[in-house]
Amino acid sequence: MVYNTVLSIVLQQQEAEDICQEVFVQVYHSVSGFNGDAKLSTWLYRIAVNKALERERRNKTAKRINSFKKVIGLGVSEEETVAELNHPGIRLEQKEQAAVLFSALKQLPEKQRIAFTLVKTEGLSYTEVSEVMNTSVASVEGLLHRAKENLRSILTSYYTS
Amino acid sequence: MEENVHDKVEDILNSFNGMQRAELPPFFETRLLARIHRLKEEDQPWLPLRRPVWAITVLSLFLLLNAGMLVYKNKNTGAGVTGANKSLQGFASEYNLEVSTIKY
Repeated sequence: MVYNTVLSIVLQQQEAEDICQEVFVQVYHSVSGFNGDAKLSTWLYRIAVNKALERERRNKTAKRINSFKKVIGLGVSEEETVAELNHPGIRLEQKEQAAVLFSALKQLPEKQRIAFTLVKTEGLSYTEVSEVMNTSVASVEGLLHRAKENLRSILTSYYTS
Repeated sequence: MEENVHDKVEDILNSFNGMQRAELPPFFETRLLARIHRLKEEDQPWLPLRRPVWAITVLSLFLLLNAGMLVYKNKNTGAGVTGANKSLQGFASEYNLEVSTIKY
């Protein structure tokens, strides 16, 4: 559950495993503070999503700093790891299409992306997603609707260009 | 053509259907427990005497110091008495406190 969620966000198995470990370490340290006002699974999803997004933001910042350093001549050229847009849970005949969809998902705003990911890859209900994202069910519906519209727009321009 | 693109886009949006959850890589639990154990050790206060090498070194230094002090003290015991006597005599002569001068 945690690994699947994180992998669907970061799309790299090694990184997903590392983030998963961080999630369980945090759970280990803060489980005494869990007061049961939400379900344990909701709490786990929240930590997993936050950790995955944190890592993505950190990676983006590091890339930007590195690019800036390269421009001013201080950067060290590193091999850029291309995200493996290959989720092991996707059926073989759909892998190529799923890779395109994952790529399009990365272009969405964070909230839309998380809502779509939790519904489609984890199979959570709108109510469960609203608990994880600490928002209302109506907001989740709105996010999903906008996510699908944006994805259609991105994919249409991808295929028509 | 447009219908083709539309169909393709819809196919892609549905490509997550039937998706299975990805499974944890092998030995994940082992690595996780090792990480937690490592973090626990790092959290403990730094105590050099926890390691046997350090404990033996510190103990040996302590014993050497004690032995050195004992030897030094033994060497100086004779000179110490004579030295004290000299200072007492000097004090006595300064204040004319020799035995012959004490008058009742």
